[in-house]
Amino acid sequence: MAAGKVQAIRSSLPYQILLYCNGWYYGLFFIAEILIFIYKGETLPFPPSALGGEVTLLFILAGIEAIRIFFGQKGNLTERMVAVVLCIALSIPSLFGALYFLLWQTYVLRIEVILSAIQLAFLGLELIFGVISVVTFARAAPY
Amino acid sequence: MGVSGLVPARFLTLTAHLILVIVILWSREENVKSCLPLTYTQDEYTFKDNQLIIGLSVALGLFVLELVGFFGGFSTFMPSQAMISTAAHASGAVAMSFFIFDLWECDTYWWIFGFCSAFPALTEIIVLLGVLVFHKGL
Repeated sequence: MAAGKVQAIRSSLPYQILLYCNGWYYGLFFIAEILIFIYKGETLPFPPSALGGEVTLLFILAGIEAIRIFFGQKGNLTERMVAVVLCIALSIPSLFGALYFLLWQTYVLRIEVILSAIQLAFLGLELIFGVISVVTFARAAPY
Repeated sequence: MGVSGLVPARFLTLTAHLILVIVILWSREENVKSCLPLTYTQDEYTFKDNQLIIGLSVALGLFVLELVGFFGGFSTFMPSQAMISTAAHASGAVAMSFFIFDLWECDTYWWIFGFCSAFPALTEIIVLLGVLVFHKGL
């Protein structure tokens, strides 16, 4: 940093790769869950309004996930702390959504356990890298 | 950016195959029974069951290897490796779903293992060796 000419890149590459792949993975998760709900609705008896609620939750989760990944990617690339903090905050509802599909829904199929476990692994890793990015962006504030 | 479509395609087929391998590892009794004669002893069952467990576990290890190569950036943007991996894992995912639904006998798993897990892992090892040892780059 001799004459203020050298600008270090502080965006995290692993974080960006994780967010990019998580966007695609959520697409797979979404389609798989829709097909699983069709299967479950055809073959299993559901209490009234349970199936509708779960499908609605899946769609809400898709919206949250889209906003979260958008803010994470842009915040990481532009080295803005606020956007990454927003991404970390949005990962809490996303976490509970994935936990709902893993533990608390009416029928949990074996494949859903695996699908939500991978989603949770993505969320956990992104949380770690997100916190690291926030610390990096906050420490090297311009002066 | 001709490569950009290959990266998610490879990732998704890899994930789909991984999920199916874990599902079979979880529920393999019917497949093991279908490659045994009508009357079998417990020893025969354990022998075949262990064979399948070992095969699936080795496949999981090879998945870890490929994911390291993929997420580590060693072969992420290598079109040839991405094509081999996508083709092998896509056919692997299809074959594995037939394996579950049609209750294929457990010995046919080794064909799926050989062509759809071991083959892309082998090319991945070659890529890793080329990058890390011989510094061949992209």
